[in-house]
Amino acid sequence: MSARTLNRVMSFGISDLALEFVLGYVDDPRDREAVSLVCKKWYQIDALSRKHVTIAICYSTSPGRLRRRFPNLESLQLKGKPRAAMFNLIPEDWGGYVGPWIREIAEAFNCLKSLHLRRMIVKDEDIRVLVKARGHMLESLKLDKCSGLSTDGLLLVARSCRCLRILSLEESSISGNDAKWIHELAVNNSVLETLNFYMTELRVAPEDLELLAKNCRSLVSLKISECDISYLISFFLIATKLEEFGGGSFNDQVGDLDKYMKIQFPPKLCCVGLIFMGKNEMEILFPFAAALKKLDLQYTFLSTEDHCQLIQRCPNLEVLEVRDVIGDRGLEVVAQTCKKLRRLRIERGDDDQGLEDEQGCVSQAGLSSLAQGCLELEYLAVYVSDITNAALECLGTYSKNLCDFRLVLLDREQRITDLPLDNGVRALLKGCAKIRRFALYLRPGGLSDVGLGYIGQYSNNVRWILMGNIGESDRGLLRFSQGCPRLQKLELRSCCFTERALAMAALRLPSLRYLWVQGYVASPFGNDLLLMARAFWNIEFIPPKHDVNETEDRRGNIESQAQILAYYSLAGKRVDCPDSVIPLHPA
Amino acid sequence: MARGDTMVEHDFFQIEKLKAASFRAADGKSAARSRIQSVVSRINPQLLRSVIAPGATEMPPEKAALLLSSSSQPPPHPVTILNPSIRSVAEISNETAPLTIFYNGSMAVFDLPRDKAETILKLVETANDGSSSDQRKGGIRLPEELDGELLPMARRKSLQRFIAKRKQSGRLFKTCRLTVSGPYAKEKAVPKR
Repeated sequence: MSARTLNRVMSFGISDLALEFVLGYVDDPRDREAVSLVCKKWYQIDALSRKHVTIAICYSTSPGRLRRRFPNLESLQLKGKPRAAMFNLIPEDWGGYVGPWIREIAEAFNCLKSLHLRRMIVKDEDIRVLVKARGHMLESLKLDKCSGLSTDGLLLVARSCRCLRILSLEESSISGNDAKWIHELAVNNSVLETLNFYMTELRVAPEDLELLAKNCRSLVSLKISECDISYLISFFLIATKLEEFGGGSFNDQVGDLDKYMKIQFPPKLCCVGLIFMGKNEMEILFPFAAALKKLDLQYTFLSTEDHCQLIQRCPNLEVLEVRDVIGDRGLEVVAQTCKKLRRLRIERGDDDQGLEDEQGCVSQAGLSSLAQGCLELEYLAVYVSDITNAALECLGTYSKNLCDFRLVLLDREQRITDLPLDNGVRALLKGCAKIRRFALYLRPGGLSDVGLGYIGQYSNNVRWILMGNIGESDRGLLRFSQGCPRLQKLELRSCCFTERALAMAALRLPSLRYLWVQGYVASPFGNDLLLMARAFWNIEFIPPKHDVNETEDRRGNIESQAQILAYYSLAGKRVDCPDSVIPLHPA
Repeated sequence: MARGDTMVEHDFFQIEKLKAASFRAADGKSAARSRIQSVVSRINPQLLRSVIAPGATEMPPEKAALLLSSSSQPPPHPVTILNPSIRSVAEISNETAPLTIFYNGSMAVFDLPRDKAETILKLVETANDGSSSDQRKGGIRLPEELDGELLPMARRKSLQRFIAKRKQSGRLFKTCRLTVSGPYAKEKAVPKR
């Protein structure tokens, strides 16, 4: 009895105060989770002192639960729609409404300074409630690939959030033609460091940007929508601290091209991504190319040769994003020049080869050179036209820092040099032990059941896997599900697995908390899916549909196949499903 | 399958005698027939219908009328019954050729385009592979996969928009180079830092 009394004051010989101090230094969510499991006292201290929470799918819990456990949150990240929404595969009204969360934040989260919403539906009314309650202390607001709001909502933010250091709206769908909100932001704010409305259709007035640069002397990052950068000459002269600039565009190719040459970029600029930049305009980067750390060429008009010309001038590049027009030749240049490269994304160019450079294909040759040349690589996402096991083995041998690897095999070539990729994938996973995120999208014959088993066997650290067109049969999936001890999120597309196998795999994977599937072998009445029914496991079904508008794939209208979404949830069945989403469990 | 007027019999059930046997009255005792039946019975009739149906509707109108009039009794199986003598005057459209199916004492002819015919053949081959393939797959692959057209690879929204805008602006790789004039390239001013 007396021992227990003592324990209330001292936990394992450590006073509460000391514990709180120590835990203040523990930030990693995995460590925090471990702390919270030690005993009730440690759970309480963690709960009251937790500063940041990321909720990977907003329906896995409720705003009330979050508030009851972590009332003193300073930073919250919420994700809504499945990742496939970025590829136009999820209906717009699928869900992810931020309303209930905003109401809870307004009422109860008195310490919240930072809010990051990803793939959610955010309405002007939600913004109104948020800024009314928290506008005076909000320091960071990121609406990342969100939809539902208009420039009216932005106006509210601009007027009420004077402490805002970061405002990001990247790739959000925001209606309204009004540029007033930028003016209001410039007038009301003096501490803004990052403003990002890249990949939006928002209108921008150059004078307002100039005002912003004048008033916000700490502005280091600006990414805008399309606006001819010759209008930004004054802006660049005023924003002397600018380190990152993205967006803009080059609209006038045939006219007076000298006007682009008159631009004087800020002295510290080292992160650049210019839209519609062509061969001649890229020369404006040459004077400071050697200082460039980040370069985004995904939305440029450069040929393979142009890429070579530019990249050979960038020995300090750490982050590079391109389309596959860079080609194997461009990757050679990267391998030889960019020894500090940490992140490389090679996106898919136009399928119509007449529109891209003929040399614009990435294959095993480019990948092998890259692996041997860029030993610091941590992130590699690449669309290839051809691939071999040897190239993957090469990555396994050299790319020891790789944490995130994504490979998609395009369907341009009829015949691929070396399939299946079983041995290469095994070598890659064995060699790159730090991989936590892994994606492999191939074609039938690309990976056998044995290869799928290898992925299970050698994915010790992997948390997220996306696979497409892999495996031969259910046996492969079942072998895969015997491994992957830490796999939390699994996405499968266009595979040959039956519902039964999917259900068995979901039950077997020990850490799985999220499953998304499109393209599988359905059981006659869809009831095999319910084999994975269990407590706290939500199962949702999106039936197939014909959609004329959603995809611009050159093959025309696509009858999109059914989708399965399953995730752990403490909040029970969703109550805001549209007609296109059918909750199967809980019933 | 060949196009045009030459009719090639594809013996995909690998039983030569079956053609003749099919015209006789149904004889459930023949081993060959029961094997065929067991194979075809595993095919989901709805599936088969859905795969074949577009081809069937491509039949010329007079043939369709005969089809309707001749099926006074409901067919025992989903495969349509036709008067064999009509076959010889079947109109063959440019892209389609007749596919003949013998099943359970009846015969059906469909005018199908090549890819649909290949779909059916693949469907049967898959089912015909023997019992081992049944254990591997719990069900039959959906038509989209058999067609060789898998789920089309989806493209990221941001890049989709970029590619669409580029097409609109007409500034394609080759034309881009042509619009730049020679003198500009030599006399450009170097931007200052």
